[in-house]
Amino acid sequence: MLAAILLLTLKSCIKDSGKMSYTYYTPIVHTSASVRASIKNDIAQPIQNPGKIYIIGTTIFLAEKEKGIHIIDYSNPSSPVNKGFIFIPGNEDMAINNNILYVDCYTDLMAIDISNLNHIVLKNYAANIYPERSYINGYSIDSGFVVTDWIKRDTVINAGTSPNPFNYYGIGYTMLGSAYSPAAANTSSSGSSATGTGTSGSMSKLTILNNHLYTIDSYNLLAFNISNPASPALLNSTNLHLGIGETETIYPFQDKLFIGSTTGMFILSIANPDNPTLLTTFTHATACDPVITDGKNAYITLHSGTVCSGIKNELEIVNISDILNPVLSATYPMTQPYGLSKDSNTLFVCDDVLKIYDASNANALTLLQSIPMNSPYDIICQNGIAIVTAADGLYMLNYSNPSETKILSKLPVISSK
Amino acid sequence: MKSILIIFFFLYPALFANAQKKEKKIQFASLTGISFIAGENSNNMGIQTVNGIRFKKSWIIGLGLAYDPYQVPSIPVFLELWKYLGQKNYSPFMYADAGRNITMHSSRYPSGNVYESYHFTAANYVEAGIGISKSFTKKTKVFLSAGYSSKQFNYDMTSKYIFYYYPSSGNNSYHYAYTFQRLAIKLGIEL
Repeated sequence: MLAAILLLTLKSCIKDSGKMSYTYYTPIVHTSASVRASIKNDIAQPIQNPGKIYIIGTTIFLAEKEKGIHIIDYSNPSSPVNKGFIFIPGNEDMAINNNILYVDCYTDLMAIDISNLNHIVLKNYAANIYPERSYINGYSIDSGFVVTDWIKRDTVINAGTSPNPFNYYGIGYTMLGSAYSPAAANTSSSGSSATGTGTSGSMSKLTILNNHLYTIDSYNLLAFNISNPASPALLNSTNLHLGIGETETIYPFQDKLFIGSTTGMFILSIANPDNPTLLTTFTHATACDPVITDGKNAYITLHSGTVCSGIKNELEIVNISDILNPVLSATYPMTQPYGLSKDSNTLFVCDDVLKIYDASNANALTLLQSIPMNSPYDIICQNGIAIVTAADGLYMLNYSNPSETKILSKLPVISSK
Repeated sequence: MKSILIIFFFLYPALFANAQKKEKKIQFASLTGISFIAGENSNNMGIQTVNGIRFKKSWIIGLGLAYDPYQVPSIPVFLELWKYLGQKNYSPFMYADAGRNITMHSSRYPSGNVYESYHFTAANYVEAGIGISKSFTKKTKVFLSAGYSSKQFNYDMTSKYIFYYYPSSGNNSYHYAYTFQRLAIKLGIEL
């Protein structure tokens, strides 16, 4: 009786509670004009968040995600030297032609004169080339402004009183800001391929061929004439949107461009460089997928668990002997692969570790070696030296004997406080 | 296997207690019963057992195990201290529990969801109350109690939905912490 009375009188006095704690970021913005005016070379900065890579001569241009570009001299691959830094907010990609460095700066494409690395000069820019990148972390940034940094904030909010785990699809949007929509996946990457100017990694979305600069936004291939390198002139835009999927990476091979998208691979002819023409499309399960080719086969890595969605993690070999009828010829399971590169018969894949295959027979790859790294991301292989970005640093490897590839050096990531 | 162990844990004390022949200063004690748990969001029935020792005649200390279905099914594991406030046929008592609440969810990627992973961790569990016990035999008592019970439920959800070119949002981790406050009425038997 006492218990019943207690129950009835006290039950209404006690409440359940739930809290959710998370970290969010608020942007620091500056005007585009002030950011353009501040583009300059700086002293070397620690590598903190390495991204895509581009090499020309004995210089590596390494993207510091969203912050700028490290300039690294690897004349001696056993002892690379971090020489300087170019501050470019929102930067992820780059390509170089005739001493002009082309970079993205959020929505804009910039042309920077790097003939004197001690005194670089912004020569020109094209605004709103990547319009989807005005949406950042739930914020829609007005044109004329650029996010230069983020302020980290920890917060706690009411999470109600009824927990419901396993039912939070899309929480990233709701928690980070309702304004954001996942417009694009700029996971561009490419295998190594000399462009006559420099060499980009397989994750690139910028490439240069025959005095033309090609780049992709979410759904389009954009062609620029760079006969006057300092003043890229937009020629046309080729729509590659097939209703679903977004373009991610671009890889040049001879007179063709191989474009990776979240739903497949596009092959375009640039026989007329002013006017790329779609030749064929190879579709696959939804996933992010950098692509490279050796002319006989296209090598595509699919990875899941990102904005690209999908559940596949594998390497696909697509026979392109008949360029108009690409045929899937083999698949190899992976953990979560990103960039890849091929030199002669040796194939390198950035997976949970760096995997090195004998690709003499693409339909029966033989794993030669696995080199432990922390989440390798992008790779360029050239002349027996492999340059790899990973979460823990920039690696140089000697693969003159592929089955005995050795790490020569590593510029480590130095975490910020 | 887990079910067999739980059943054994519940039944073993009764068998053990019957085997006790002589009174000792320190005796085995077992408190097993059902509980009615009432809170803001629901009312549930649970079960619990505490097995330990009786000492100084009026004290019991033991290790407790329960099944608590309120909001999120869980297994509290706790230490219980029980004090009789008399040695009559009807004896009032008070008790207090403190321990950890172990969720029955397993940390995992939910089936068909590649975007988020979940990691569940043990959280605090406390309960305190008063009651009355009636002796039926020299070794057997029935008790009824009412108390305040609080269990916590914590987990981390990490979204792999990475906004690729915006690394500042790449680490999408969310920590959830719930506190469930309830009233618990228990009816059980002491051996």
